[in-house]
Amino acid sequence: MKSNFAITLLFILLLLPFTAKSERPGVELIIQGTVSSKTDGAIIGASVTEIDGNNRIVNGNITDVNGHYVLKIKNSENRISFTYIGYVKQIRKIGNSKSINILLEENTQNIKEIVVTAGKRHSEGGYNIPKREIATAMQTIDMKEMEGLQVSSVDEALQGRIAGLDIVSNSGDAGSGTSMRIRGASSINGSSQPLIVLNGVPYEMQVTQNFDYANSNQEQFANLLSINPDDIQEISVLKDAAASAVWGSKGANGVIMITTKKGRTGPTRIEYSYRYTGTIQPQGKKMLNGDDYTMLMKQELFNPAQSSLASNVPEYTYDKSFPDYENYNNNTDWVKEVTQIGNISDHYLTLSGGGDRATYRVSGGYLSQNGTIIGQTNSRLSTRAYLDYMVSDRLKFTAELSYSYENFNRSYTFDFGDNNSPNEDLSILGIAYKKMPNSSVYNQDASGNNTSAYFRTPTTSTLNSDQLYLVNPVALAMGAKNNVKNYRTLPTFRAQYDFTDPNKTLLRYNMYVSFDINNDKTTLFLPGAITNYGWTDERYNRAENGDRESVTIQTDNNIAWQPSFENKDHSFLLYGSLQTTEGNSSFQNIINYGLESSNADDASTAGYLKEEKTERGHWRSMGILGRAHYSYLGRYIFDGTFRRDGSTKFGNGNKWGNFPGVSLKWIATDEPFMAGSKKWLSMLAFRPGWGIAGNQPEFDYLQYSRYGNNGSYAGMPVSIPVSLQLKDLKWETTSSVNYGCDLGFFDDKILMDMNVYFKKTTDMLFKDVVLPNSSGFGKLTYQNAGSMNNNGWEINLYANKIVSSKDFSIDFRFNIANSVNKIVQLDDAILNTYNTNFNYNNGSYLTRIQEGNSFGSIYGFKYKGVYQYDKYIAGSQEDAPVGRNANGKVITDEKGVPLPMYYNYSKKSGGNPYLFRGGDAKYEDVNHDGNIDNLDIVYLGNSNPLFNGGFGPTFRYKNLSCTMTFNYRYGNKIVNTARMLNENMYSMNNQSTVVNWRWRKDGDVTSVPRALYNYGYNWLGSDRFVEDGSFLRFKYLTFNYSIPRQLLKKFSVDKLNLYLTFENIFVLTKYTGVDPEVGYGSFGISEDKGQTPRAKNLTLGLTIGL
Amino acid sequence: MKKLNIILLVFLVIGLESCNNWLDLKPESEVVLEDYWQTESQATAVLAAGYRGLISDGCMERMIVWGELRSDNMVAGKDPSDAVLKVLDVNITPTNAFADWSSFYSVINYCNTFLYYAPSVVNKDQNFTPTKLHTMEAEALTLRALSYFYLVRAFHEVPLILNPSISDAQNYKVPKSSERVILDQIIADLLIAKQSAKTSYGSEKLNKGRITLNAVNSLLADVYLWDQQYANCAEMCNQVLADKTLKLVQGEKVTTNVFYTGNSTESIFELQFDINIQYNNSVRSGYGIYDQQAGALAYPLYFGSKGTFSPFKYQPATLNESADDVRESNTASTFENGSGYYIFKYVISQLAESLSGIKTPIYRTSSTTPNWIVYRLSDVILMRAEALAQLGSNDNLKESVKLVNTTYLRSNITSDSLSFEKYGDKVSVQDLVLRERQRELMFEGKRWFDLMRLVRRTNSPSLLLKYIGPKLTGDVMKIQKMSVMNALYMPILQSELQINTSLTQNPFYVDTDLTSN
Repeated sequence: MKSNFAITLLFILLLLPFTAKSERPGVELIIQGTVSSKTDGAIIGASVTEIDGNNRIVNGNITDVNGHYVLKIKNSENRISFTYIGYVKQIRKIGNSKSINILLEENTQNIKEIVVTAGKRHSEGGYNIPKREIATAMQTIDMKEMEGLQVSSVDEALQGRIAGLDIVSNSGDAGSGTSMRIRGASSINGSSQPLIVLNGVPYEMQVTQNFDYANSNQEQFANLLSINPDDIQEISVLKDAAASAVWGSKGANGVIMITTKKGRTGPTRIEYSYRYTGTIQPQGKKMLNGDDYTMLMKQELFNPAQSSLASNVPEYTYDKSFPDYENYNNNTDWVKEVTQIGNISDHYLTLSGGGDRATYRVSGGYLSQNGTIIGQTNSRLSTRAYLDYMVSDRLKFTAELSYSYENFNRSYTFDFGDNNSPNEDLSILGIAYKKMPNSSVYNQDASGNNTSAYFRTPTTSTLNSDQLYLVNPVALAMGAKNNVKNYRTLPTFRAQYDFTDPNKTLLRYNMYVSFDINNDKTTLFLPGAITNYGWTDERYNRAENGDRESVTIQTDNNIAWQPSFENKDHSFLLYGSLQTTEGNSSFQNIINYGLESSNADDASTAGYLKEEKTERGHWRSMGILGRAHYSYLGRYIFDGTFRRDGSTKFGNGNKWGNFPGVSLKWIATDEPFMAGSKKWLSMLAFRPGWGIAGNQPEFDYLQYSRYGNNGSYAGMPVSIPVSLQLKDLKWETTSSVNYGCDLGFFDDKILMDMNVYFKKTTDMLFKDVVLPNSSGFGKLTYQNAGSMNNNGWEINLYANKIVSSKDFSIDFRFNIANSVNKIVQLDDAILNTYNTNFNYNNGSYLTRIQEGNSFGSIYGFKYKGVYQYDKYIAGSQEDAPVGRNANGKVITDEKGVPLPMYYNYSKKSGGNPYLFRGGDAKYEDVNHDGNIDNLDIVYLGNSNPLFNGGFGPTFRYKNLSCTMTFNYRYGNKIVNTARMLNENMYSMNNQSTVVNWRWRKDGDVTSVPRALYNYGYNWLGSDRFVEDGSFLRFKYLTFNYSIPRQLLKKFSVDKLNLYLTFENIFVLTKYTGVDPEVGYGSFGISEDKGQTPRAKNLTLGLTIGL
Repeated sequence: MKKLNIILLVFLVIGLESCNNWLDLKPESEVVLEDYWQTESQATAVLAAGYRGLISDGCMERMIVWGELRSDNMVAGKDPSDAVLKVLDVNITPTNAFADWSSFYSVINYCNTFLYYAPSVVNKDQNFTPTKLHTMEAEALTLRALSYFYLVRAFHEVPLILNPSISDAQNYKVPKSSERVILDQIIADLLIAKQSAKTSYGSEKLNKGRITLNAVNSLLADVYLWDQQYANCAEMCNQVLADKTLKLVQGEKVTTNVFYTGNSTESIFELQFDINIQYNNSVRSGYGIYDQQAGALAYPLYFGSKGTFSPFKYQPATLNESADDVRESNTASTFENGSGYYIFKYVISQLAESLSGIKTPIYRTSSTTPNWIVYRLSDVILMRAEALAQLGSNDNLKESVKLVNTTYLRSNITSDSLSFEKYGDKVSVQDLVLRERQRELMFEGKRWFDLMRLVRRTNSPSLLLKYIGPKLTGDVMKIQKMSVMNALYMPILQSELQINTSLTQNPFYVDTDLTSN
């Protein structure tokens, strides 16, 4: 009973309108008559309906061949309506008449031009207020602005258009998503992704505890937004807590509200659009060819040992007697081998229309994509139906149904190789950048001709495991399978009932039930033939099957009340809502390896079982919401929200969280004293607001100590306590104050809004807080520990037709935002957990979270170039590894011998001291003690941008329009790990051409150190690899041409639009990596691991409307 | 209209009241604490978790690393992990993976949980009689004692935790307890366990795989030996030896019966590995397996070339020990692997001899996995021999040599028994026992602790250096490090120190700079 309570309540409420209104019994009558027209005589098939006071159809019939009808009347108080297509509708009272004959008139008269002066309204279900009375920080984009863009998901389209929304795409891979942040990160551990609300229903994403959020994020999020852009009407972004408090616990990271298009009354309209996009990958890093690579490797191997024995590797010596000589004498451009021109074709068909009572919009599309990396494909079939049915003027039903099926073939990623280097990039492209360029793609015969088999490094090779186990990326892309199929169905049913005449006093009941059925099927296979692992290795012929399904049911029952006052100066709206969410999910996964054949590649075939896992989840939450909107004289506006949220994720004491919000607005330009300036200042409004939003943990059942299975021992089943009970866990709350200002100049030709905000997150949720191991548990799943501030400002400017003549006009958009993040306070245990000691290894940056500093700070050494000489000789060989005091003078011992420069002289962290030599990397000895150690680590910058945003003009000339969009970020630092691994000359991996400038002999002046195989400290985490990630990107250039109607009429075509879009035209940046748009990783640090860069696209499209 | 509003209101009120209940959800695939501890089977499942914890890779690996790796018995084989290399290099830092004690504390927590909640089950489940409870408590106490015994031998001082970890409201920053306190706790627990421990579970697998009275006594003997209570140790060993169902396996069958098939007649407590539940990965990767015979660990070369360092063919001056010892060829190969020879113990089923007399090892295939023997009869025999040798007195020394002969003779079939006359004094007998223990128990996770007992008796590492010397190859730095008593214990993991601020580092590893960082 409990579990179904909400649904029961809902159905009862749904039935109320019918049961509550009892029909007044009238005298039963029969009415008959004929329907005819002046020109055509009797009308056959005209509809004759009895309608009640609310225009609800009670009874109906149609006329016969003679235009005659008979209708049994239920109530003589009702009226009869006569309609026929092409004729003007007529409505007659019944009264006492027994026969009504009607003469319909043809609908031919011309309507005079009507000027509608009503302002736009903003509506969220029953909460419906004039747009100008919105008192919160909200920005809305009409999707018309984006027509013609090839965007496979909506988030991409938002990039650079919303002030304060920082969107960074995770990578250019087919189907990969984006990292979104509204006004900075408010949570360190939890997701910083905003809440998506589709037609008023939140898109829920639920994960279980063992779900790897960090790694699955990309696809999950892309999936989340698999709404076709063609279906979208508009997108609003709620930024401040006064607005997002409405969404309570889910809204802490901001809210993106998406409204889809609905059907419109009128004849059936058919619209078909087609887009073709060609995609190329921008030129990445230039890598060494086979000749340069082998030369480098021989030096690299020689240097540490100073012995040619070490460098005598047959794969690098081009010795014809070596059996694999032909396979190792090539110049293979692996990056070129694994990339291709990608393409996307997207068909979309929409039917819409409707009559008096019902409107509909049905659409369906098919998208197929080939990625820029070989082997990556994506196809998507999606349909959406939207049906409105007005039972009467008071009662309305809406059914909404969307279904999408996606089939991804992704690249297989696995931990190939030795995993020596930090942050190994495991993608196909990552492997291509590492693979030795002198080896061949295909096995070559004795005369150097390619055979059909892919070349695989023989297991007997003496190459180190970095290369030995590194697969041939072409073989991997073509041979391994990583397929994900996603089926998602989202039916929503809505009802709306007005208790009173909505034109007088509004008392409206609204409800919906929404289901989200989401299934994923993952199949992976890694054939043993392409790897070098033995048949007992768990990576040999490894197959994996995973199934995940979830069902989420959301309901909302709300009532809006808007009394009409005698005094029209007052306007008041009250709104109350009860929302429930319930969800189930289950997941199962099976991994088998050592399958007998790579032909039978399903995990169900016989092999060694690696893992078999099932998981189930069940969650619920509930929200009670009250909202009030009051406006006086339309210029003093008050908005208040109070929400109480309950969740199954907390224990008894902390189940409920309260989320209030208040906002005010004063439209100053409506004041009489401002009338004088109205000519140039058409809008001036101030909007202060305050609110609290919350955040809850991602997982359920945290309030319990749980016992789970853990295999068995000697035939005895084993149960273990798997979690510690979190008794004290509570909501993370974010309170924010927002000061906003709206400006409009010259009759709203130039519109501007500005916001300043102060956000404070308290009881910050920390995930996986480390416990002393002596507790028997490694981690506490969650803990509230600390607070953080996010302060910032945003400016958004829109100039509508700043230049305008008869045929020509220009619009201009601009936005800029800044957000500064500061950790105010943190629990010591957390600080200790996160702030580990420097490990003295190459490639690692010291990660620190510090009170008073911002999140995403990078710490490391200062890189000062390369020691030019090995031995210090005063005057002639100054630039040598010797210690210097603060004045730059060389430190000497009592005999005058210069103090040599050491790394880790005091052997910290188990490392050995290293004596710097000529050609080694030079780090700044900050404390001048002749020793580089953790005391020389300094702050190197922060990954948060100083500001970011976008701008762009739109030009219109007659039927041709041209839109440009730029986006930019400024002042953020990126750790260029990809470059680090491409320039470290430490492993057998291929390196970029930059290393051709490496130091080779005494006296060389360069900034690239000498090559040292597995030796030395030439690539410590230093500012050498921390780069400014500022950029300006010319993101879109779109031409849109709609062919004039006069021309189309002949072909009975209603509309024909053509468009051409160039995407990612150029990027201005000092960043040396392939793409400066890098997402946020752990500790909020942007780290470029060399992911697939954003592609350059060209899209051609057309839309035909019939 | 009014009626309608009232109905609506009533529903809303009912709705709000039932909200809290509606929001109480319990997991579907797990049982919450409030619903657990109702039946005997639930109690048994948590007890089994203690055993299951011991066969985890974490515990198993540490039994080898803490008990054997640092001794003279082991060197690097093919591609050992970095952490293993650092241990072999006498370069153990607080960041070394083997300074992590978590896997043993997991076992301790399971035992603590069982001991805390199981008594309440007696009232709820009629079948769970107090007798059953007490025998199971004996198992839990022994498993906890065994875990603490490993910890105290490896770290010297560790936090002593006897209560289960249940919620985030507890204090987990527990300081270290002294070795004395921990050993006293272990002994007290084992003495309780002794009173109700079972002698048989009805099946051979469970008799070897679960804690029996013999296992309690063997562990207690080991603890007494470590604690230098030799008379008590000898007595405990005697109680085990009194059980005549335990029989030594014939010398030539030891490889097959004791280490390959497992659960032999001489086994007392043996961790039961199962290919469907848990491979013995530490032995598979460390000692080798059919398709990867070169394990990460190896038998030192100097045992083959330098006769006096080797316990086998030990023939200085007048002695002639182990001249034709089957244990030598059955323990390790003469083929090189890394810086040593292949290890055979646990990983081969037998040495097959061809007509021409060439012996070929038959390796374990990947579809089998070895059990791990914690205590077996010959270990107990030799513990008693060691205790008697320490007690001195001619009678004791004589019996000690006699005990050594029982294990010695089954493996040196062609030799005569070792005569007491040749080992007339206490020191020689002690050395003999130590050598016999090395020959008999090599690669069984015992040797380092044998050497540590030696060191603890004199409170000086010099005796240990005599044995470890060849492995350190005269490296002054390494010898210096091994000359400090505290360096012979493991450091506490750096991250553990950072989180548990009540802990202090083992004195040898205190690096002021590391902690101030």
